Order: sequence, then structure tokens, then C-alpha cells
Amino acid sequence: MNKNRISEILDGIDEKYIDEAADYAGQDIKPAFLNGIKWRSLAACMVLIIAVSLTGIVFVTEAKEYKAAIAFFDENGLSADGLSRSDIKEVYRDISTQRFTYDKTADVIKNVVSGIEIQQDEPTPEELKTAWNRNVWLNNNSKLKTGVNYRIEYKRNDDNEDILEKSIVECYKDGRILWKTDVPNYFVSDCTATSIGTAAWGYDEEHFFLIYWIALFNDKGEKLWECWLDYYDFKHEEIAAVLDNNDGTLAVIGRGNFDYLYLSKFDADGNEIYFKKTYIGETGVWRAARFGDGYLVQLTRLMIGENARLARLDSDGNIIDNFAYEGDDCSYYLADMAEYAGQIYISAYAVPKKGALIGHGEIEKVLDDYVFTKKNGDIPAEELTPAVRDNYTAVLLVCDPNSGNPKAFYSVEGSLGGGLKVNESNQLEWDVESIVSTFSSPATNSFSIGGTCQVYRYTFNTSGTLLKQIKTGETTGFRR
Amino acid sequence: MGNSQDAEECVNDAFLGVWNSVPPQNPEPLSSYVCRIVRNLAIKKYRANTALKRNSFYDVALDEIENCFQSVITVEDEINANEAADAINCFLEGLDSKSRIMFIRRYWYSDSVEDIAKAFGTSRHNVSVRLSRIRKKLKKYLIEKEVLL
Repeated sequence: MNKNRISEILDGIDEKYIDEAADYAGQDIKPAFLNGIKWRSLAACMVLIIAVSLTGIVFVTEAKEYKAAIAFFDENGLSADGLSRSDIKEVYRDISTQRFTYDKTADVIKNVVSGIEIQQDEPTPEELKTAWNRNVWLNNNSKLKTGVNYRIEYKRNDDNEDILEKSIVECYKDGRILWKTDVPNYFVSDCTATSIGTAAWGYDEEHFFLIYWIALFNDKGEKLWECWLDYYDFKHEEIAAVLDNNDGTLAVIGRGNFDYLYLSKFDADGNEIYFKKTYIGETGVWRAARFGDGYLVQLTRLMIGENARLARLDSDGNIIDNFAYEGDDCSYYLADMAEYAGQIYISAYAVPKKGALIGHGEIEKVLDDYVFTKKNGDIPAEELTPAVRDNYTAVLLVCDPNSGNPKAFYSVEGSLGGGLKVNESNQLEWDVESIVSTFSSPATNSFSIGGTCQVYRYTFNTSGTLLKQIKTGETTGFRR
Repeated sequence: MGNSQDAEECVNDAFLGVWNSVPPQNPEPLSSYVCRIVRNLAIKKYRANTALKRNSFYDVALDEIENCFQSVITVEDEINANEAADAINCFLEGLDSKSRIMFIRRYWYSDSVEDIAKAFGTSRHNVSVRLSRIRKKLKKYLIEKEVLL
């Protein structure tokens, strides 16, 4: 159907629904446990852009391929500036099939692959393939697996949509697979090794509202038990973490009914032996770790730029303290959390504080001070990248064992904090994503900056000594 | 809009539009009245500015919901806009408020999935899945109400 027609239809939506959603962005909910904290509301940004209309019987299929191409561009930090719809699809096919023969692929790759040396006349497909694989494609797929992992396999249905075929939970040691088990009906969100087995959790997508699921597997990958979390009138939305209580029970922490933090405990047979919910308002529950007899939980309210709030829970799930980690002139974003050697480490990154949040708070200073003020147009990567690097500092925090208050332990400029993991040698591995290339594209979205990061891995022992720092060869996309 | 100047101009024109129309108009609620003016101005501005360029972000939003209006027989004039809008309003009435707000923010305000996830304090994937379920339910509803054939 013509997009103008759709716009006409959407224009007929009742005022009361428009108003309800407009007010939502500015709701000022202040749970009792957060007294003293000022919440700011945001003005809704209401710009609707309608593309050139599309016609044709093959539109539905073509639209799906176009969507896949756009997702590929976004994931890999590619700019679609100046490309037609068919160009975008052609470049997508060209790169994903590793052919590199389409005439516009080279220009697209140049913006995302730093240091690439492409001749002014046409590069060969081999040159492009080598540059792309070295910097982006294969590096993202070359991570050596250790411990427990999971992956998702998809299949196409009759409507040509990708749907779940199965999830797979695997256990590795020294790079060799110990066991593998299929989970045919659920999307696995994550898994972790515990003292009573490997816990995996995810959701069942067949229902209108997701039904959350947990299972425990033994050291052969055999399922010991599974259970579903939704019951009565409490809708479990997400599971933030499954933690080993080291007493034969597991703790499950997450959010439910949009407004509640919950703690459930399960015994080794899969019986839920404890449940408590606590009202926290419209706050995200993202990560959790064991802290003493209780837990440390990351809470987020991203619309007001709050990502680094931590709540201490006692063993019963009662909130006994909460604090936001921030500096005088910088804000922190927490990326991962891990318990190691009796302490909690938090991977984070710091960005400069600025004024009113515009929804792209991390790069606010770069946008205001540089993109809009000085250039307000196409900016060469050679100028933009240093400005973006100046904006970020990766920080490894360690929490005080008594209060839980984090303090800076290690920092790396020009980078973002990445994942934290305890390796098979009982060393803490901290991944740091160093920003190596960036681009902005005012014609597509003047408030976004994309690019690429190279991943470095810092390894620490139980004394906190840095043992080694390596360049992993992996890359991640950067998009804010 | 693609740049801050056009966005500012759009907002200024909207305020002028409100100033000129109130009174005799007495819109209630005022916020959604202003939203509609801004939206319509932005659409006109975009059409004037961007014949060739595209904003993939918003294309995808309309691409997503377009499938709700696809049917076996797809002839534009067969779907009456008012009839479809009435059906959508009835459908929205039956949703819980959170799902309804997600739908409106995605397809009327054209918020990104990321921004909606931030507003709800949840993951991008959760929002994508919920919106997918809402779209499927909407399409089924439109067929049942014979808005689609």
C-alpha cells in the first residue's frame, strides 16, 4: 500500500491516544526509595518522514530484503548516504556474499574500515574482501569460545520470515566442546555455570506477551528441570540475571509488570521457594551480581540519562541502599558486571556531562560543540574520530566490599568498557572497545554517529595486577 | 528532518499555526493538536527537501506497519482511510496502555525502537517482539472486521 495512504490512516488515530503517548515521555514518577532525586521530562520529538512511494506486486518480498539490508548497514556502521534503495540492497548482497564486485561497495566500506588503503581508481574485489574481513566481517565471528555459551538458529517460514528453529546451549573447555544441547522451543537469552549445573534462561515467543523460562542442565547437557515464570497477575518481563547463591539455590532477578523489581529463588529441583517484588517505578533492571549475602543490581532510566544507579538488596530482596555513580563533570554508563575474587567489578565508560538530554546523551557534547556548531554538515572521519575519542573513557570499577560503592580501578581513554568474564584460569578478562573510526551522516540522521571499535582485552589476577593486554582482532560497531 | 534548522523552522511554524488558529479553535487536549500541526508541517517540509535522499530509520517504521494493510487483494482504493482509522482506534482501545503507547510512539511519532526501549527501561529486542505481536494482532483484527479482504 502507498505510504501516503498509510499516513492518512494513521492520521485518523484518536486524539486521546496521541495525547496519552505524548504525556508518557514526560511522566514524573518518583518512587519512595529514590526521594531526593530530580527527574527531568523530555519533550517528544515528532518528525515523521515519508519516503517515496513503492508499488508492485513484489513489494512485500522486496521490503523484507530492504529491511535486512538496512539492519546489516546499522550493525556494521555503514552509511547509506547518497545510495538509492536498490544500491543499499546491492551493497548488502555484495558484502554478505563476499563478492565485492558492485561498483558502490568500495565507497561504502571506506567509511567504516579505518586505515584502508584503496587506490583512487577502482579497487579489486580481492582488496576489498581482504580489508573488510580483516577489519569487520570475520573478526566478528572469530571469538574463541570458552565456558558455557549459547546461540540461536533460524529458519524461513512460508511468509519468508526468519523464525526460531532452535537455541543451542554449549559448554567448552580449552577450546573443545564438552557438551551441546538443543532447546527447540525457546529463545535463550543467556546462560551461566553454577555450582548445581548450567542455568539457561529465555522466553517463549509464541505468546502475545513473552513467557519467561528457566532450565538447569547437568555436566552432560541433560536437562534436570525447567519452569515458566508467569503466574497469577505478575507478568515477568525480563530476567536480568540468574545467580548462584552457593547454598544449593539459584536467585533470579528481573523486572515484572513494568514497575517491579523481583527476586525469585529456586532450589536444585526447580521448585520456586521464594518470591518478592518491590515497586521501583518505570525503571529498567539490567544486571545483577551477588554481593555478600545479598545482591547488587543495576537500575536504569535511560530517558533521563541514568544508567549507573546501583541498588543493594539483602538476601530477601529488600532494597537497603541505592546510589548513582557519577563524577563532577562526567556521567557513567555501565556495560557489564561480574563477581571475581570476592569483589564485584563493573565495566563502564565515562562521557562528559552536558545540559538538557536530547536522547543521544553520550554524544551530546560532540554534537553540540562540534557537529552542529563548527561544521553542521559532512564531517571527514579524520576530524570526527578524534572528537568522539575525546568524549569516551573506558573505566573498570571495583565495588567496596562493605558498602558496594564503586571506585575507579583502571581506565583507558578513547574507549568504551565492554564485557567482563572470569576465564578458565580464574583471571578477570575486561574487554575494552577502542574507537578507531567514525562517521556522521546528516542527510540520514543528524543526531547519530556511527563507526567501528577494535577490542582489546585486559587480564587481571586476583590481586588486581594487570597481567597482559592484547589486541583480540575482534571489532564491534559503534552507533549512538 | 535531517538537520536542526529545518526542525527548528518546523517547530516555529507550528507555534505560529497554533497562534493563528486559537481562537477560534479551542482544541482539547492542546498537546495533541500541536503534535498534529508539527507532524503535517514536517511531512510537507520533508517532501520538499528530500526527493532523492532517504531516512532509512523512518522508512523502516512505515515498512513495518505496511504489512498490516497487505491482503490477498491489494488495491489501494479498496481500503477506506476513515474506516481503517476507526478500526484501528477500536483495536487500540482493546490494548493495555503500555502496548498502546508503544504502538503510537512507533508508528505515529516514529520513535526509534531504541528510544522506545529506553523510555520503557527494557531491551530493544523486547520492544521489537512486542511491536511484532501487536502488528500481527492488528492485521488479524482488520481482517475480522472486514477492513481487509
